[in-house]
Amino acid sequence: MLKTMSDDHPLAILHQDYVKCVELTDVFVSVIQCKKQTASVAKALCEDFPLENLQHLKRVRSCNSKDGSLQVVVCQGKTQEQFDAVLSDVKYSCLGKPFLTKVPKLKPLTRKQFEECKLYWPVTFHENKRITKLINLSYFSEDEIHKIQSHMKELFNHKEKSKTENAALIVDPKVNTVLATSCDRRHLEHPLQHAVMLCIDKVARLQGGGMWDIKEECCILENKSIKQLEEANNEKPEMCSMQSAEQYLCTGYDLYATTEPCVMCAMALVHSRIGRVFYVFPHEDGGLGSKFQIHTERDLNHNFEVFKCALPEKK
Amino acid sequence: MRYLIIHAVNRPIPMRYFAIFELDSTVHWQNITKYCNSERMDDIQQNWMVRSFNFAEEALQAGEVPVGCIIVYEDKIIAVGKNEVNETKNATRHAEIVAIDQVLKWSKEQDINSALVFSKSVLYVTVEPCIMCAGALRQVGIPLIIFGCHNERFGGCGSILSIHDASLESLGPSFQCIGGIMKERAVDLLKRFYQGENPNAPEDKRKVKKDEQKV
Repeated sequence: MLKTMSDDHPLAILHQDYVKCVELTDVFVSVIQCKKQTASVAKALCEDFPLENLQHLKRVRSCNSKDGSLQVVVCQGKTQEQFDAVLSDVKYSCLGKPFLTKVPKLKPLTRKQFEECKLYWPVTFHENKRITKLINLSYFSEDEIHKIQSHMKELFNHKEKSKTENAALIVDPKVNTVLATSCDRRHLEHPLQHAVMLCIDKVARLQGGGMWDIKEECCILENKSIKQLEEANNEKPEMCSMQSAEQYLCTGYDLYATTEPCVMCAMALVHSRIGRVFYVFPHEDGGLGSKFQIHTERDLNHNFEVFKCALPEKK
Repeated sequence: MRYLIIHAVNRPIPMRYFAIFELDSTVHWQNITKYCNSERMDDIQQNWMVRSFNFAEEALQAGEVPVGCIIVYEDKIIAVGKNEVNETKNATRHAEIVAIDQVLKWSKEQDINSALVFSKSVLYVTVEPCIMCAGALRQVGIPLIIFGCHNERFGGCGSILSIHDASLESLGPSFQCIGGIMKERAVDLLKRFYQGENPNAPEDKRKVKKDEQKV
């Protein structure tokens, strides 16, 4: 079977708001019995009953019925007594008796949600191009996909060589260089030495810090990548961002992981200001998509992009 | 059963709290928390918290986010920790992670199973553990955490997420939390850090606020 580019395109793990189905809420709607007065009635209603949290709704819609009658949103969250008093004004004489109608509660964030919203009531939609590309799998160029795939392949080679369940790798995408690789060491009696935690610490060590002093019996690639880095640094010192005094933690770096990071590792990546995360296997208790979406948590001071990738093909 | 285990091993918790566990072990932990406000804290428990604050103060003096903690096992402190993020250039070097590392080391030296030690230990920490640390604490299996102020920016024990009791089977057992103990002091320390004013710093090294410089 022929493969298309989108087959290889990593799948973005977006905030729930972009993925969820349209939620509905009740509003009072009236038929406009005299079309000529539509503009003035709509304007008066906007003043008397502003749509506060429902700004995305168009005030008036034309019905599908043969006569093409128009309906207008009267108000939301008011009792009949409250709006009857206002509607008794002569300027509203052309309105029919208000009735409850279900309308979309939130503004649509994706084209899919927009289409779904329109089934209930016309809404405005401001398309976010980045989100659309992420959903349509047209966000990365072919070259970028190729780079991501080659790092993922390197990661899985590393995982196989080290014979551990999980492995991680941190790349500086600006220079397309692997800075650190690691593999799970939980089996060696340290419950916190997950691949991601170790990888973050290796980056810290490259910057002259670090918290764990580990003899590298299972990380064959480690020495190689430091060597590579040193060579790159000798050739083109300006290219090596890790040497730069301005590099702060893992800012702008990419993390590759075989399995979705747990909540501890996910939050460690937030603290480390990681740029992007790519993983292959979701985990039921995972912190970046499955159980929690820590990377999209709006209350936190740092958010980042997370992608699920296909398992790299073996040679 | 959980409460019985706490009764047997976590002696730093004052006796009257055990009475509640035993009378009605189905009492929700929050009710117990209410009872555990600072006025009713026993001297011994207050003392553990004061010890944690010593390390938070040390962190502040070192220019780190002022959080300190201790881990108590069988009435003695077996591990202490303070934030060491700047020192290690590793943003995961929180006080709790430092202390967990120490417990692992201590257990090895004493030749005791570390999982057993953790399961009978209490963590006292000046600020609510963050999401990462809450995840770490579940993995090592600490059953009880006593903390000072809540952590509105990163808290993993109720403030941002509730990792301590979320359904996360693969991570480890959930743990109990008592928060708000000596919280004013914890908040005060954090304020001092974020204002960049370290009253213990020598006069010439103290940060001067921008608007003061202009004058």
